[in-house]
Amino acid sequence: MNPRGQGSVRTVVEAEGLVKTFSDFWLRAKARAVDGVTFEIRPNEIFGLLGPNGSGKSTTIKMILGLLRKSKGRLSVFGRDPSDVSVKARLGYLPEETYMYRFLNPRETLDYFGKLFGLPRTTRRRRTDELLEMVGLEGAAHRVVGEFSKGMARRLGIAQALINDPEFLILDEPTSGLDPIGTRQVKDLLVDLRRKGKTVLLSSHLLADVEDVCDRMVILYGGKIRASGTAEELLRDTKHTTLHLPRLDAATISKVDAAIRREVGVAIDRVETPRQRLEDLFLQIVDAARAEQVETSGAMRGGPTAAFLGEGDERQPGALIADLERAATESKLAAPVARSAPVVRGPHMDTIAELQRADGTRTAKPASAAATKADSETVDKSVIEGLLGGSDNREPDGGADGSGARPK
Amino acid sequence: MNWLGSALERFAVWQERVGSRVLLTVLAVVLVSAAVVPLWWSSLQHAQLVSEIASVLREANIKERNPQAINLVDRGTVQLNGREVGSARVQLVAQEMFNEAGTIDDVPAFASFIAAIQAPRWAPPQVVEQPLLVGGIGIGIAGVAVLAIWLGLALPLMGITLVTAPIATACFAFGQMQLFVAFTGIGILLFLFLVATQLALRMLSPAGAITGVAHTLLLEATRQRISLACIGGLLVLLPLLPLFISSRDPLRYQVQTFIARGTGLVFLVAAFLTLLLACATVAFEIRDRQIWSVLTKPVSRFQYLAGKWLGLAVLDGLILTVAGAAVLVQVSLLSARPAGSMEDAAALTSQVLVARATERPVYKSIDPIELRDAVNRAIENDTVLRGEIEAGAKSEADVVRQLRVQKITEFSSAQRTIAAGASRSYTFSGLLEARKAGIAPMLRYTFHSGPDSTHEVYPVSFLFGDLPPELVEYVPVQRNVLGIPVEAIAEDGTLRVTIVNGAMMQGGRIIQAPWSLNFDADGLEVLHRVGGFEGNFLRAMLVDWGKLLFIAALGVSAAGILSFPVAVLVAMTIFIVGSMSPFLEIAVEQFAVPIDAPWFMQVFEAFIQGFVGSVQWVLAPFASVGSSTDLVDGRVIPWGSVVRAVGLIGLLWSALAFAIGGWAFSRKEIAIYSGGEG
Repeated sequence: MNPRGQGSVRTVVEAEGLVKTFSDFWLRAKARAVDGVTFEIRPNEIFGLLGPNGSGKSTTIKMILGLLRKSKGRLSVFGRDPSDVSVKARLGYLPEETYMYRFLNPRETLDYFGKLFGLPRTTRRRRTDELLEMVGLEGAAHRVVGEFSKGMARRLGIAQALINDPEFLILDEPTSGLDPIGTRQVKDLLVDLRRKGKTVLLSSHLLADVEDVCDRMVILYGGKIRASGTAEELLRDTKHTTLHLPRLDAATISKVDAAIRREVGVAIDRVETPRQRLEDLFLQIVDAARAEQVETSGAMRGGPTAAFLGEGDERQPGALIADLERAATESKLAAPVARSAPVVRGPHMDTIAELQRADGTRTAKPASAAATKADSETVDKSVIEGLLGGSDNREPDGGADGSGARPK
Repeated sequence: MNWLGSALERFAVWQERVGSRVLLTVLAVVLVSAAVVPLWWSSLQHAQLVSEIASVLREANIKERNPQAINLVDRGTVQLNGREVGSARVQLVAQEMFNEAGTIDDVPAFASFIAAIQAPRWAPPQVVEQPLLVGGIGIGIAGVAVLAIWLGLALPLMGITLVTAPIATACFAFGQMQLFVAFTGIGILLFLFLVATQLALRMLSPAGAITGVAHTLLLEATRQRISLACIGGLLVLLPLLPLFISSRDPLRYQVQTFIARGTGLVFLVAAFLTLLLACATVAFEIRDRQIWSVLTKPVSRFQYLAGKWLGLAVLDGLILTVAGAAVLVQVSLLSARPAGSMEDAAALTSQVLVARATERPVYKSIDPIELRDAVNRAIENDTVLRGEIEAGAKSEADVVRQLRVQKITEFSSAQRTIAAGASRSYTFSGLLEARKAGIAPMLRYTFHSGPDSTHEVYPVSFLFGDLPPELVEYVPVQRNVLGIPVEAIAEDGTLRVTIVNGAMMQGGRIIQAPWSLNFDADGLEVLHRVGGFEGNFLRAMLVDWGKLLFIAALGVSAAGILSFPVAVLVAMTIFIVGSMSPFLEIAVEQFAVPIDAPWFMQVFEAFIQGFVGSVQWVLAPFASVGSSTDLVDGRVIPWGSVVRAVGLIGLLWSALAFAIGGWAFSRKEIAIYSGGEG
């Protein structure tokens, strides 16, 4: 994390030496939930707050929101004390559980929260319509929240967090209770919001969710920061190289392995046939059902991001370039990774390229997941097993993008 | 039944569109017209017929034996444009309708009687002769239907009508008019409450923290089961209440009983609901964490509490308005019952359905020097008491204080005691308006005499001003009233009343009563009319509203810092202490431990008299400011009481409750640590 105060970047949240101690009735310290935490959240980024249960994530968030008072340290939000009511006009908050009024329906709920922000009636109505469509609740707009499933209530929670088009959005376990469709939509929404100039604080212990979207993150344990940095900094594996190739037959793989042994003296750790992610399969099945117009009483497919979000926001300098960079990253996240080629791990990529050209192997093209699955079923596993049998007996790791290699 | 629920839900969504509402409006107008227009047309024609018959009857003269009279007597018919209208029933009574001059006295009534035979059987007789009334009813029903449609209440209106209309119709068909009125009243009240709620919600619809919170609280109050049970129960019970009042009692007692029970029930239910809802809405939102979603918006803690209070204030206003209107209408209907006697009817209008101011005699105060001398003499003459003071068994200051109170009481009592055969005069002031209005005031008196046996009557004479004496007999302990001639009031608005303890005969001879008589401080008063019952009732409702505002503030403030059960306990304790403060005052005064009790008992006595006495003194206005007792008694509740109730209790006390509770709430950490979470 960059040292505080360097450069002229305006911060959304600044915390320095933040401590929160809970006391009992006799004012004896009972628990130190947050212990000397220092971090800052910059504009237009998605900041991750990670940690296991009881690590201080939600306590930190509640201090940022003014629901709890800090015991020690400094904390400011938009340069002001968190208890300042005017700060709240720029915030949106989704609690870890959705605490809505059971006797109100979604339309009334959003109208209520819109009133609290002082939004005029026509604006409230327009935003309510857009948000309900965005979260897929327009069909349940007149049912009371008390009848909702957890996931539907969670979607409503997301909608109410956005009613005021906040500059700074705080999401505590946003995908809790959501199905993979909802999870994917939340992630897409977060990326979209960042593109529109929002700042997001994301707290979760579902690491896959955070990894996909966060720019920077801190990892808490026992109220202290154990690690911090960008996802790239924290997660880069410097000891291995991953290659994505179109499907190779056993003979070619052998040649590749021999070449690598010859050139650099190391062997391929593992050859895997990637498989489709369960999330992608799930989404395909749901899309097919929707195409067949099968009825459901649950949440509908969400619509596009509400148009009012990010209206009129000034773009930061360099935003276009940042957008292009992010778009490139998002295309990797959003689209199914090409699954047609086996993954070869090894330190030397040139040798492999030579082998490919020598064999006339076609360059990798994106292939459908179904084709990938079918291909994986037809490969001669005896050859692969023969290649793998001498090194180790580990199960192939069907990771998110096939990069399931584990360091030795 | 799922299909029904689903269909109702779809209808509820569909009827929110403007186009749908226009369609429903047209449909409602068409249906109402289809039902009412035939009745109105028949009524119009019937009224026309009555008018034509009346014009013929005016010409009929049995002495002149003109054709109109002959037709009536011989055939019981009248000729109208070549057709005969009438029947054998008319012939039976025709002869008796003519007076000595040969004409008909009551032409309109006789015309109606003759025309009634021609009236359509399906038309209710009470309305068939009144086209204006029929038209008014039709417009009223259509108006209500259109109002319901545009407020989104079409479904509830249909539901209420489907439930109450068949029952009311059945009661009407079986001649059970009281039940018919009751069930019709239930339907009207429920609908009126829904309409009033919708209007209140629209009033709270502007954007803002306080109005937003108030709006949601009103929705909560009208959707939670406890609220619906309380409000629904009240609106159902009120129209049924007259059924539980014996019609054998004098009419004025029936009306007084209904006023007492009706207003008492309204306030009790409203107070209970307000207290419960005030505590629940805040405490449960903190417990269930909905408050997190609210206080993370630009809403200060004060605005949050203020919004809750405003919502409760509006809810209380709705309940008092609708239920109060119900009580008022029921009083009017009850008053229309036949009175047992002329005195009963007169008492109803002059003593119950009226607002009267009370004037009490001007009593002298004891001279301070006289008082001091009397106390000193009492101590000097009482050797035992002097000895106790000297021995230290009693404190001189306490003895002097007790003797002062005793002497003042004796002095006051002496002014309210008249020896047998003696007389005493009392002066009342403030009766100038009564003199100007020419409305006779009333003297109300409750005397004690001898053993206070209610089986005895004793004579007493009253002289009002310079007028001749009025001799009456009274029963001890019971309240009696006597009319005062207006001319007895002097030009400056004072009235001198001389009471003679005995029968004052002509010539001034007095036959003395067997015992002396005395009366309490409120045992002799003059009541004079200063307003009507309706205005007094409105003021009573405003006083109740002021008290409810305080209860709401109390509950909301307490729940901001305490859990629900503790908040209810605290708020209810304060409410009960305030309501019972007159009784508590007497109890605290009379609470005393024996002089030789242990020291901790003495401390306890001091605590009770100090702390409890102080709390009771602070809360005393809650009970003393205008009450339903005054309303029942026909006493005026002045605007000053309304200002005290709303201004002092409703606003100032509420502000104090908010200051204390709001400050503590602002310091409270809402999202407390919960162990394994986050």
